[in-house]
Order: sequence, then C-alpha cells, then structure tokens
Amino acid sequence: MENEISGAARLRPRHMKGSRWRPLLVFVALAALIAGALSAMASAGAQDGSDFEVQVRAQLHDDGRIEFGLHAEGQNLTPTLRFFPADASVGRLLVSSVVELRGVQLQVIARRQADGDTEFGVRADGEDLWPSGRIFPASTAADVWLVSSAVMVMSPDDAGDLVIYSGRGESLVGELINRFEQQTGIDVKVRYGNTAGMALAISEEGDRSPADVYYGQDAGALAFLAEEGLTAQLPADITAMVDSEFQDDDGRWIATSGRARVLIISPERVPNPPDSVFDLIDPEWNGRIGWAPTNGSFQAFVTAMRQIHGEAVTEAWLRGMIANDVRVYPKNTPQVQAVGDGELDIGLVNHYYLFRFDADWPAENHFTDAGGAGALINVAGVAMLESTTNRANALRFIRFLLSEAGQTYFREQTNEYPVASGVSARPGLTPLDELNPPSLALTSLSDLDGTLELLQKVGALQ
Amino acid sequence: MTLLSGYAPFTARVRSNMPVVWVLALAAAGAACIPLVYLIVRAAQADAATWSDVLSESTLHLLLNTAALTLAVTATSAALALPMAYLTERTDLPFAGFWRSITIMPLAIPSYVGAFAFIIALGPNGSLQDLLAPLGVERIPEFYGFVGSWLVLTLFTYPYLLIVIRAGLRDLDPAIEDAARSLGQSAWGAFWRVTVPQLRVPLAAGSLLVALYVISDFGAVSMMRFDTFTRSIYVRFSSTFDRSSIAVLCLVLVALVAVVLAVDWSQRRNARYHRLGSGAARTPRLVQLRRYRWPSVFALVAIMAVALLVPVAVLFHWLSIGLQSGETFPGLLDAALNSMYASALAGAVTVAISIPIAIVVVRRPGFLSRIVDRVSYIGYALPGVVVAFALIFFTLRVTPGLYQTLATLIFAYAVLFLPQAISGLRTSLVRVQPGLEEASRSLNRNAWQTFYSVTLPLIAPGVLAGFALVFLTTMKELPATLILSPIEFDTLATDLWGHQEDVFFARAAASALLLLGCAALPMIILFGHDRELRT
Repeated sequence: MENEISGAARLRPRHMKGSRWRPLLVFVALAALIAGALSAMASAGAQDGSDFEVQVRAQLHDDGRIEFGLHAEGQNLTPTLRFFPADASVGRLLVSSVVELRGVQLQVIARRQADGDTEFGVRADGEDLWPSGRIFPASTAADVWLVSSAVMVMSPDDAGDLVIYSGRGESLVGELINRFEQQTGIDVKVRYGNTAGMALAISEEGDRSPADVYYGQDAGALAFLAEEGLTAQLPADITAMVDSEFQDDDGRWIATSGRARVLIISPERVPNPPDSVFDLIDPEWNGRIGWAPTNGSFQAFVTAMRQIHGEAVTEAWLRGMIANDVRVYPKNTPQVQAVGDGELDIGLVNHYYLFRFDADWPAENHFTDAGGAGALINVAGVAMLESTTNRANALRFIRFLLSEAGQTYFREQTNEYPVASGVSARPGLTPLDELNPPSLALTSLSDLDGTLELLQKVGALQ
Repeated sequence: MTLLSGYAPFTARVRSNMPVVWVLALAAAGAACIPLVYLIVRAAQADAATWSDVLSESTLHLLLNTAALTLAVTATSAALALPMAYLTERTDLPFAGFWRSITIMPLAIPSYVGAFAFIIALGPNGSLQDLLAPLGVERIPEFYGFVGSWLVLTLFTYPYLLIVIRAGLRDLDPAIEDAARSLGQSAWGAFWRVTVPQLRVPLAAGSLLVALYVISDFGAVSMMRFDTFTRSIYVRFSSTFDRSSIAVLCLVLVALVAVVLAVDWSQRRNARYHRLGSGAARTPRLVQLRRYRWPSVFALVAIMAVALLVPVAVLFHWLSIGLQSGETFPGLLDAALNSMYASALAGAVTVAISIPIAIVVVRRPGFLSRIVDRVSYIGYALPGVVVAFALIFFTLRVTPGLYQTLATLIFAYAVLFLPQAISGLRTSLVRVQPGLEEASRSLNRNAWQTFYSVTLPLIAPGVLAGFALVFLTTMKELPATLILSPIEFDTLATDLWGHQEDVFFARAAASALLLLGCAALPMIILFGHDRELRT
C-alpha cells in the first residue's frame, strides 16, 4: 500500500504536539538547577574551613626518650626536634621546633609530672592549648603510638589568595601546590595550560592579568615574559638559592628544577649507543631513530645547537636526520613507548619520561655530547608578575618551591633534577654536577623564531 | 522539479520589517566578527618580513594539504551520513531509536582521542597487528598522514551532517515523494530525484559544518602527523611568542574560509522548500526495507564498530589497567557536572542567539542578510585558541569585570559554534510556510506570540538539532575552555587533556569515557524516544 497517497492531512501540524522540544527545556532546566545547587553547596563547604583539629601523638622509645609529633587534617606532621628526653626535670615546659599548617605555626609542648607521667599540649601561634586527654603514662609500652584528644586551632582567615598560571600539568605539580596551600592557609587558584600558551595569554592580558605567578617548564617562555617586562625582579634571598646559570641575569625568573636531554634507547637493539647526537646521521641508524619536532623541549635543544654549533652545522644535522628516515612523533612519551614496543630504537627525549613507565620497561636513558647541545639542561621555573599586587604570597610560593620540601618533591614525584636547598638527584640518575651541560645562557633559548624558520626550511616542520 | 508546480521557485516578501530581529541578528553577527577584528589588529603590527615569510611556498603547500583533506572528508562524510539519516529516520529499521542516538555519538569523541585510539589499535605494532600476527602478517601498512587524517576526521565529523540531514528529513513533506511514486517512480527513483534534491539545504549546511571543522581541527592532524594550516598555527602558538605572525597566518586561513563560504553560497538556490497549498504535512509512512533490513543493520554495526567501538575499547583497556593498579579518580564528578552545565548553557544560549540570524537569512534574503549569515561562520572556522585570544583582547578592553567568568566562557562557545545552531535552524525554517505566520498575525497575535505559538513548534526539530550539535561540540572543546573558563572550573575535556598530556592514561581514559557517557545521556533523551510515525 506504499503507493497510496493519503487524502486529507491532519489539521494540526505534527510538530504542534511539542513533544520534541519539551525534553530539551526540561534537560536544560534540570542541568542548571543541579549545577546551581551543587555550586552553592561547594561554596558553603569552603567557608567552614577556618578551624581545624590538632592532636599530639607520641611513642616511647627503648632508651626512655619519647618521640612525639602532630596529627591534623589526616596527616602526620613531624617537627625536626621531636624527642622528649628520658631525664627531663619535673615541671619544666619543653617546646618542639615549628611545623606550619594552614598558616599557623604549630609546636608541641610537653612537661614531666611529679608522678613520672608526661603531659603533652600544642602551642599554636604562641598560644598554649592543652587537650583534655593529654597524659602520656610512664608505664606505656615502648614503640606504640598514643594519640591525645584534639584541640581546636583557629587558622587566620586573612592568609589571602594567590593566582598561578601554570604551564605544568596538574598531575605533575597539583599535589605540591596543595601542600603549599595546606601549609600556609593561602587560597591558591591555578589555571593549567601549556607552557607557551600560558605565557602568551599573560602577554595578551598585559597589566590586567589576573595572575600573580607564572610557572612554566621552558626557560625560553620565562625569558620571553622577562623580555616583555611582564615579570618582577626577585629579592636577593631567593636568587641566592639557585646557581646563576639557572636563572635570569636580572632575577626576573628562577629555575625550580632541571630537565636533561637524553637519548632513549633500547638496550637490547642498541648495545653500543652513540656518544653524540651528531652520530645519529650515520647510515647505521637509518630508519631506527625518532624525534618530536613540534615538542618544546626538542625545539629548545635545536635552539641550543644553533647557538653552540652554528646555523650551518645545525642545518646539516637536521637534513642528515631527515635523510636518515627519522620517524616523527607528536611528543616525547610516544617515543619512549615506541622504543619499548620495538617500533623505534633511539629517540630524542628528556630524561624523566622513562620514569613514568614501569621499572622494567625495556628502554634506557643515555647521556651524550659532553659540553654540546645534546647535553642541554633546560629548566622548569617560576616568575612573579610585575602587575601583581600580591607580592608577599607570590614570593612565599616561590620560596616554597625552592625549599627542601619543594625540591624533594621534584626529585621524588616529577623525577627532575633539584636545583636548590642541597637536595641531590634521584638514585640511579647521573648527578647534576657530573653532567657536562653546554655553557650557554638559558635565556638565549627564547630565540625560537630562528629555530622554527630552520625547521621549516629543512622540512622538519611545515 | 518543474513537475511539482506547488514547490516551484518563488520568492515571497512579507511586508513587516522586523526591526528587533534585525538588531539581534546584527548584534550576533557583530559578536562573530570579534576574532576577525582581533586578527586584523594583531596582523597590523606585523612587519613586511613577517608577511613575506608567511606567504611563502610552504604556506601554499599547507593550503593544498588543507583543501585536499577538507574536500575528501566532506565528500565521504556526506556519503556516510545521507543513507544513515534515511535509514534511521524513514525506514522500518529495527531498533531505530537506539540507532538514532548511537549514530551521532562519535561526535562526542574528541578527534585527538579518536586518532590516538586508532594509532594504538591499528598502527604498526597495534592491537590489530597482534591479532593478525598468527596469520603471518608481519607489519600492517602505516596510515599516518593524509589517509589516517581522512579516516579519523570522517568517522568523527559525519554526525554533523547526519544531525542536520535528519532534521531536514523530519521536516520534509512526504506528499511530494508520494506524488513522485504516483507518477511511476520507483522507491529509489523517488529518493534520488525528489528526496535528495529536497535535502539540498541540510546537505549544504551540514557539509559546510564538516568542511570548516576539518579546516579548524588540530587534534586528529597532529596525531596523524599531517601538515595542515591549523596544525601549523598551533605549532606556532606552542613555540613562538610572536602573535603578529600567527595573526597573519590566520588571515590567510580566513581567506581560504572565505573561498569555501563563497562556493557554498553560489550553490544555494533561491528556492522554496515549504508547502504552498493548504493543509499540513502528513506524517510520513516508513519505507519497508524488506530484504535490505538486515544488511542495513549490518552496515550500521560495521560503521559503529569502527567509529565508536574501537576508541571505546581502547579507553576501557587503559581504564582497566588503571583500576587494576588501584588508581582512584578524584574530582571527576565535579568535572562532569561542570561539563554538562556549561555545554547545556552553551547549547541553549547559542540556539537562542542564532534564531534571529536564521530568521533574517531565510525570511529576508538580501545583501545584508547574506553578510550576516557568512560572517557568523568565522569563529567556527578559526582554531579555537585564536578565538580564545581574541576574547582575552575583547573582554579585558570592554567588560574586564566579566573576564574569565562563566558568562565569557559561554559567549566564547557561542562565537565558536554559532553556525552549528544556525544550520539546524535554517534547515527547519525553510520548510515553514510564511502563510501560517501571516495567518497567526491576521488573527491578532503579535509577532512574539506568533513566533512562540506557531514558528517555534514548527522548527522544533531544527532547534533540537542545533542544541545537540552545540552541546556535543562544547563537551569536547578545549583551547577556549583552558584560557577563558572561571579559574579552577575543570571540565571533562580539560581533565582529559591534563592527564593525557602528563601520560596518566587510565585517568585520561576515565575522563574520556565519562565525557562520552555525559554526551550520550541527553542524546538518548532527545533522540532515543520512539517515533510518532508508524507504518
């Protein structure tokens, strides 16, 4: 009956029922309602954060000393001086060193009682607070942690805020920034993006930028902001913390961690890795090598090569690589992946990508080119914006990144080279002072235009 | 089409001038021009060397690459979308409601995720290679470059065409097909000679969306290592600090877009597509597929297996690796709610803004409405990061208090995705008889009442299509969200980006899957219900 044409049409057009767009309105309204309610709840939750509970924890050691610490916000805080001597005199108040949490200076206070028990309390910003359950009995068994009842501590409401534009990812540095926030009570807001993109955004915003601090992982981007006059000079106590080769000459940015160029190799297929990136244009490596020409670290490396070895040598090397059938990757990690997968034998990457894979991933870092571009050490670094009115908190953040806690984080979590506070490189990695980086001002890495031109000229990049 | 005198070309002019509609349409078009103004300001700062540098031979090469990819993807997308639309909308296909929702889902997969999944699954040493290894296949051919980009972009952009064509099909008056059949045409003949020509507006509008998307895409081409214009612009954005040279390059891109828009316009006929006689369109009867029923289902299953199952399977694989190693995913729920909220708002606001433009374009054909229509495409065709920078420039100068608020973000989405909403609306609006609106006015309803009670219900399929397009595209939008969102307003797209950038694949996979789920939910509500039509 397909061919039959129905005669009279329905009087009401079919869409008049409205059933097709009603769900849409309902959906939009519901989404708005739910989101509104949730954001109201979230902001209500954020406001009751000015008080927090602190407990003292303590354990007896075999030698009669009592080790103590603090517990707050779900974490244990350990002061440097934290042992109550076995022979302490009765009635004398002893005080631990300071730990900071949410902007409050916390100390443990303790005193021996006449009956041999010890009572513990908390000193918060100079005020002594005694928990109701605070007695550590002399008869306690050794090596068992006891916990006091809690005292309420007021954190200052006026620790202020801080806005960071970060070119480093949240999964890399989010945890570190959280620690800073917890320790200082400063309300930190972070905008994450890529290193060059965030620097460009700041320069587009100019002196209206909402950011107080820029945190990026390429010396070139930091140098660009400094050249534009958008970053402020850092005080001498900060610039003194880091070697002069890892900061701007005028103190307008400073490195927080180091990133070394390496070859990622397959130890199985490359038993005798080359000592120089320049050997990679050898026919031996035809079709076995990879690079990521759009990657910022790679471009910084080519910039360094131009500065150290000159345009002609660099161009010849680039052409040699292409003639040697270099495989192109979108970034560094896929190269480490490809080496492990057997797709690639040698890749040009930074040293820390390998540590993101399992320990038994079949790939190895290989350092090359003592004193040459292949041994370049680029940095991640930080700068305070000239336009900020929030200098105290901005500087506090920078000091925190360079503190022992910050530097240890880079060694343990991002696998980079620490650059301050005497923290050493992670085990298994050639220490920073045994590497032979080229003597090249990192600031010169901002000359990327020439590098891009060259990469385009030889066809490595369109 | 001369056979069908009732539908012959005819231009009806209605006398009222609609000043409010014109003001709204011009304001929307003005907003769409912001990126262009920004580019001109920045390009004016470029010196002659920059210009000659940009206008070099390699730029020509980029233009040719981009044009070839655009043509190829648009043609194959149309070839996929047209039969899929007809099958799901007009035939007795089994589980049609399910297919209607599922066939547009590939749109919710960000192209870089899709491309990455394909490389993992089908690349050298990928999963397919592992499967084929026992059969003696040593190495499957690489598909990086043009072929890979073509494949990936087709699979993830055909839904633009599909959604728009389907809205067009819903509005199509079946009487003319019936007439064709009564004049002796076979079902195929009626489809090719009547239905397809009648779908000229949605086909053109959808093709334009696909073409301009391909021009502005970065994710797929960067993963597939194919050099296009937008890839080159992004590379400069992430490595050079010279905004004026980027602006010059973007202006060349705008020129390319202008050519595409002009070609599209020259294809447009000043034809009428609405019913002229009395009465209203009958509910179309469903075409019986008979022996093509199961082959059709098989074809859809095959397409969905490649476009949806491959990426989803790869994502689940990563997720399971993460779950086995005990990873947790904090903050994902917030990101999902933010994504849904922002995308729903963007969809609603963009559709609302585009209604005046669609009205003047369809009801007031002329020079001015043509300009309004064409400039609304600029933001969509430019790389998202360029639009984001234009809005930094604009917002800080005009409304600094609104910088990096939800209002600015939604505005940015509207500038970016305006043409998607317009395409949906225009497709529906061309089918609405002005006579109905005139009748309403003569019955003493004012313009607003007429719009609300007559026009809006009639263009509901177009409103829905426009909303769906903007919603899905906003869900995966990244560059503008990164720069313009309220600070710490994480969405699934930014979460996904952050974690895949830092190689936390399990977490990235979790965000991507949740993104798909969040996108699917409203699509099922909107399109999954049973048709009111029955055989």
